Amino acid sequence: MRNNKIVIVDYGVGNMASLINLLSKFEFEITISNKKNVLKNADCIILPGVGNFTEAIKNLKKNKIFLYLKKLILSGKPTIGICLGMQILFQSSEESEDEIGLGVLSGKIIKLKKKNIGWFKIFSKKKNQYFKKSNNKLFYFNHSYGFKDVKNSCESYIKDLYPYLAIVKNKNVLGIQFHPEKSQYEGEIFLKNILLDNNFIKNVH
Amino acid sequence: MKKKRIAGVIIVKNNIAVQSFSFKKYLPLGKPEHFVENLDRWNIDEIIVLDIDSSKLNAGPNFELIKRIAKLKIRTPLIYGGGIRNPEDAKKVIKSGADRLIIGSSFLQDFNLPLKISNVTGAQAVILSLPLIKFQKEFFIFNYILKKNIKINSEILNYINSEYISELFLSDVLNDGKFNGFKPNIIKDLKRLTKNFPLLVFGGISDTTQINKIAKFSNVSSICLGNFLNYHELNYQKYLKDLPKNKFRVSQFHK
Repeated sequence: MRNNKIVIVDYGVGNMASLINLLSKFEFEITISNKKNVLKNADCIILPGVGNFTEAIKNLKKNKIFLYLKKLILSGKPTIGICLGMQILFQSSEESEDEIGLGVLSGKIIKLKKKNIGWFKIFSKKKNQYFKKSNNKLFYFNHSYGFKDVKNSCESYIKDLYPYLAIVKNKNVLGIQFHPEKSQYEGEIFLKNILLDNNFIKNVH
Repeated sequence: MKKKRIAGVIIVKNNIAVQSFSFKKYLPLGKPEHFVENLDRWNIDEIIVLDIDSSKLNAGPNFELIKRIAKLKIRTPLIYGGGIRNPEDAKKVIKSGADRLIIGSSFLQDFNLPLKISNVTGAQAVILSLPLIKFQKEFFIFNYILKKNIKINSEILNYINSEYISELFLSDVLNDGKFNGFKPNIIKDLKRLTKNFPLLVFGGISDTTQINKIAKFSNVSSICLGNFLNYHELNYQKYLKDLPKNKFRVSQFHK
């Protein structure tokens, strides 16, 4: 068992079983929680998500962790957001008139002209070692909203959907639009490359 | 080029996976979990579990079944359909382990159900089931509970063509379970009716010639195979060998 503690934030959106199963394979200590003291002691925080932006933010607020989580991520806590979990890291979304996002990444999530569902090849834009092994590989996407990259923050993208991004990385924050936990073998290699081969938790900055 | 998906469909009745014949007769096959494990091991593009008792008995979704499947450590997207009556059911279906859901006959009681459900799950998770029957140039949705055909009029069509639904699960009711039964013309008809809405097509699709024919329709996003996948070990890999690599994802069999 590795010493690193990964906390998957429980904010009532979507199933976490696949993600837990995959991370357990890498022998991390996995906890699911929405408690401040647990989040504080985490070496890495993961925000999963299938759901609606408004619902997700409301749940974070209901659990009284919205501002705490924001502060924690801004202080440098290694953080990974998956799908909706990535979208709530941004400032706002067209999916929500009532709620703003965590705002640890700048920009607004925009409604796609066509919902993007299925298996798509991603292409690296920058030569980042984190995503080297995933270039030109197929991953499972399932989203109706996305982030249109205008400030060159995009690491990887789908050709037909460019400049909407597939992966964004900014210091300690990594956002993934697709579902590595549902992308079978390629998803496992992707997360392994980030968490083990390149040790995202230690080399995050 | 966008890849067409291939889905493995498991029909569940009384917690047993069954082979369906036009949704009228059923042959028991075994534990649903066993078939889910196989499809996941074969690296199929997605798995669809349809619990046909849930709607009939108005008992709500089969949460226990979804939870049992989630425990199997599968790494393939899971779609669940059966008994989803309201947003609370939908939310619980996703929380229990499904990635997306299929709204069935409840839609015929509340046309705003996709809107209400998408408000909690996101529209990308919402699929609407369209068990279709064409009779004398008119289209009907088959209501499994009432065993009644509901004519698709312009009002229903407006609710189908909504932004709160991501894809339609089209089943060819009359040809389900029949070898080579699926009639591709129904896709062409639906393309016209639903303004090119993305479709998952199901019912009697049994060989690669037929899959290739169906894959030519631009509005088909997923081709759903039921009974025919279950006859042999690694049947999906055998299917893939005869399908064009530019249209389908060639998944590696790694385990």
